[in-house]
Amino acid sequence: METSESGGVRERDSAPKPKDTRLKERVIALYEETVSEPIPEELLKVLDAALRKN
Amino acid sequence: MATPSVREEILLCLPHLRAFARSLAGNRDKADDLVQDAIVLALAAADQFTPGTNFKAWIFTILRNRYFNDLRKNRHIIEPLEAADISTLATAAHHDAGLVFDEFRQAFMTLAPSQREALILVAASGFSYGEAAKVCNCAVGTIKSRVSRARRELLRLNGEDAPKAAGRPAGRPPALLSLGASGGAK
Repeated sequence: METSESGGVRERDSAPKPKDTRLKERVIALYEETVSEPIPEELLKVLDAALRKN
Repeated sequence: MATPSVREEILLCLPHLRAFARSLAGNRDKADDLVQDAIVLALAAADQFTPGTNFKAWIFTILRNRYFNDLRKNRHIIEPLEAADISTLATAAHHDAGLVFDEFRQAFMTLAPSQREALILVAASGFSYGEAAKVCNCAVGTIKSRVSRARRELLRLNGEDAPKAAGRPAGRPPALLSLGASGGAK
């Protein structure tokens, strides 16, 4: 157990473990890999065609 | 009714939709087909969206429902590989960073789709557990347990075995404290 800055007591277990931090970083990296790609022209055409239709 | 603001909303979500779809479908072409379907469905149902509510969650829900409906319809549910099939992922000792990441990607894709979506939604897409539960139409506790199982499985596949449940103190599992939506893309 340890004391937080606000004076409360919290379990030491609540601190992220390095392997969990690493895991989260990898999940984010996997996600960001696609997020950072340019949007394919094809998708933009589908979007505009669907907008015209609706 | 489709309006210019709907286009803007979709454009803002597109990179995230593609990333979410890729985590479900596993490859670029299938994922982009899924995104196309989600766009068409969202625009056809645009008048069902309540302005001021979470558009990103709404269109994510449309995309994941489409994915799971297709899975059921086509009976293409692929079971995660047995650990023995991919044990080599965790045993090689020397890798460069790219290779390690490729191994992580392969391990990630062996998770059940429901675990992949839970992990991506809360650890990378910026959704809270509650929002992820709404997207997946399940209880918050279900999302937490899917994230926890996904975490344990990934740590095992990457040779970083998770702590034994029996040795863990009562209360929230450590996995949920560190993998929640405190970071990641918004």
